[in-house]
Amino acid sequence: MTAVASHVVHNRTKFNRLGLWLFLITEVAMFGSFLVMRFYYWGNTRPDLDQTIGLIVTSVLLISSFFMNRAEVAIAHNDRLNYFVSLLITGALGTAFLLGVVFIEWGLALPPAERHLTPQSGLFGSILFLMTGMHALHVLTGLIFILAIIIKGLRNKYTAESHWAVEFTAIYWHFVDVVWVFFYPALYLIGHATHV
Amino acid sequence: MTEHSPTSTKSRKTAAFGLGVRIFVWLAILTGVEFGVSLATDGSATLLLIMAVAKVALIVYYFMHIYSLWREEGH
Repeated sequence: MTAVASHVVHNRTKFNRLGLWLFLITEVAMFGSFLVMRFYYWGNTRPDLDQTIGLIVTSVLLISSFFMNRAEVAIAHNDRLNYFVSLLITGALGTAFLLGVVFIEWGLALPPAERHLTPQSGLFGSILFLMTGMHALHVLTGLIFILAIIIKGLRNKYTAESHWAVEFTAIYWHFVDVVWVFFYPALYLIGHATHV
Repeated sequence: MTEHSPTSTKSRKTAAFGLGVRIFVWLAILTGVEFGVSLATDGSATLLLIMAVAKVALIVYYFMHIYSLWREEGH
C-alpha cells in the first residue's frame, strides 16, 4: 500500500469509528431509558427469575466477547485460522445465549399455560420482555454481522491493514455485552425476588 | 509504514491475546463477585451497579478500544 493510499484508509477508518460511536450513543439512550423504567416501576423488587439461567447466559455472552476480541486480534495479525475459529465460537455462543433467553427464560419451549411470566403479566412481564426482547434483537443483528464477516473472510476480503468491517462487528458485539452487563443485575440480582 | 520482523509480530500477537485473557479473567471474577454480593446483601443496587460500571469500563477500554477515537493512526 502506498503512503497516500494508507493515509486515506486510516482517515476513512477514523471517521467510520466516530460514526459508529455516535450511533452507539443513541443506543445507550434507548437501553438507558429501559433501565430507568425498570428502576422506576420495579423499585427494590424484581420477578423471581431462575438465577442459574441468568448466570449461565451471562457467562456465555461474556465468553463470546472474549472470542470476538480474539478474532479481531487474529485478523490484525493475519492469523486466519484463529480468526475463523474464534468467530465460529463467538457465533455459537451468541446463538446459545439467544436460545437460552428465548426458549428457557421466556419459556417458549413450554406450553403457554405453564409459562410463569408473559408480556401480559403486568409491569414485571412487560418490562422484562421489552428489555430482553430488544437486547435479543441486537444479539440477532450481531450474529448476522458475524456471519457476514465469516463469509467475506472466506473470500479473502480482509487484511491486517484493512479490516474495518471486523472492527465494526467486534465493537457492536462488545456493545451488546455492555448492555447485558447492566441488564443482568437489573433483571436478576437487584432487589427482592417477588412472585408474580 | 514501518516493517516488523516475524518475531516481533508474533510477540505482539501473543501479548494482545494475553491481554484479552487477563481482561476476560477480571470480567469473570467481577461477575462471580456480583452474584455473591447479590446473595449476601439481598441485591444491593449501589454495589451491583458499581461493579457493572467497572466491568463496562474494562470492556469499553480494552475490547472496544475507545482510545482509538483520538489516536492519530489506526489499523
